[in-house]
Amino acid sequence: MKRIAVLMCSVALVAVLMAVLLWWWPINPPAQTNFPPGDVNRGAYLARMAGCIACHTDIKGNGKPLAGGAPIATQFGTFHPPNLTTDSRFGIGSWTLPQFATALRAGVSPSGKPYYPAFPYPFYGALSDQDVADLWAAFKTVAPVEQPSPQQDLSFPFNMRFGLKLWRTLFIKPSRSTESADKSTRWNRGAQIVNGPAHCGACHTPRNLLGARIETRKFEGASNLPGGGTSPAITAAALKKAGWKSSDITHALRYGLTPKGDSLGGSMGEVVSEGTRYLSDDDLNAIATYLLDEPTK
Amino acid sequence: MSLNKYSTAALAVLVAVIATASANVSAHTGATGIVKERMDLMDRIGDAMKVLSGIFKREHAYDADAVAKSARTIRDHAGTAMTKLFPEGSANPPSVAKPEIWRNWKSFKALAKDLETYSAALADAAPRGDTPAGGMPSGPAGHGMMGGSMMGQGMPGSMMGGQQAPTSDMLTVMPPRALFGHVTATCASCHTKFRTEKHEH
Repeated sequence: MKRIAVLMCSVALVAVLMAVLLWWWPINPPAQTNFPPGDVNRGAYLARMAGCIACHTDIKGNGKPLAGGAPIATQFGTFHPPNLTTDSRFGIGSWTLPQFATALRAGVSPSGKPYYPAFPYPFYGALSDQDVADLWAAFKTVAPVEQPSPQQDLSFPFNMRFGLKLWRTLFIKPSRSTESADKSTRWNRGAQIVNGPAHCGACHTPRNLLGARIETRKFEGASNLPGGGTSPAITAAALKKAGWKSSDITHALRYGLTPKGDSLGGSMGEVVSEGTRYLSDDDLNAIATYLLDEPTK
Repeated sequence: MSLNKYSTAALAVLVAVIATASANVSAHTGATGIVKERMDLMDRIGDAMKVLSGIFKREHAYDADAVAKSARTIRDHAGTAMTKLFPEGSANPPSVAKPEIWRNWKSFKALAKDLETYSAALADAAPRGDTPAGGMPSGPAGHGMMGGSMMGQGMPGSMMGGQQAPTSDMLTVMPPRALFGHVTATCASCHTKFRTEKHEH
């Protein structure tokens, strides 16, 4: 009996110790300080492409631009996209460009906290220094909105943010270029957009029980999206089987219409209306070129 | 003997019921009554959208008459022609309408009205023709993509620029492609808010 008690105490002690270690474990990547000058217009364009505006604006609730998005209900709990306006108290007005870069590409906040991967920073890791500088220049033009960001509302054990450090170790791989020398410039531009800022895989690639994408099933479609939605497969094979041509893809991303004349509703409707419809013809063509010729895993 | 008579009568009733039911059920599995009526209305809009899509996708040559005709079809099925088919509480399966429609009736009605306005404007604009392929990159609402109209220029909230509804004066001069963009944006906005997602794949 006594032995069991001792054993249990030791196990508990080890668990607490590990939790403390995990909590203390610093994850800040080395801060980068050299950035090229940013271009506001290019940044605004990227903010559309990357879905910053779609997610961090409460569109249905007629919220102010970037002042915080509508809640995202998942099986882990409810996420609240925070205020990204220049308000120095509630937004990111007091941040520096290097802090912004680390938040965006590494998913670590200025105070060293790991972000939940509902924020698609694993995709933004592919953004160049120029991209980051451009986005920053654009964000600096957003009017401040004094609106607090609600706390993330997650169930146990996901509410313990330090656990994300383990998650990161398990699932975050250094972003690797998907470019290919054998392919056209247009194809490569498409790969860059699709696998980077546009983060198509966030919804179209299925996730495992811990919410990490299953890369061997890239673009095969997912169920259990926030709010209980599902997404169709967008592999080259699936698109071709469904009869989608290049012009169908560009048309869908520009106008939110399927080849049957139906409109894309649900979260894709928002992706189009707040994001892809603003993209240039060249970029939409690049996306279609890449998707219809996506290498198999 | 009497059993037989009853069976025959029962069979006749059954046949009649099935016949009536099948007459009411068509493309939309199981839909009847007002739900079927509005699904048919959406189908007619969808057919018109398909014609317009083919033209604005440049799969077919620009045809002002076809654009005008399809736009008029949409106009005639929008506005109150549409909203009257959504009586309160008619969201039972197989309907894909969300109950939010009746909680936000004003917004639903406004979107149906917008659809009428934009499709009417598109019908009027049809003779203006389309911009040549490979010409100006055109957003759906005719906004330049990098024109600084989205964010920047120090305008408060201009990150969301391009969202303002065009005035009625603007509608009379806008090119068909831009108006088509407004029509499709209205469809998407309404479906995003008020339609549950069905999956055909």
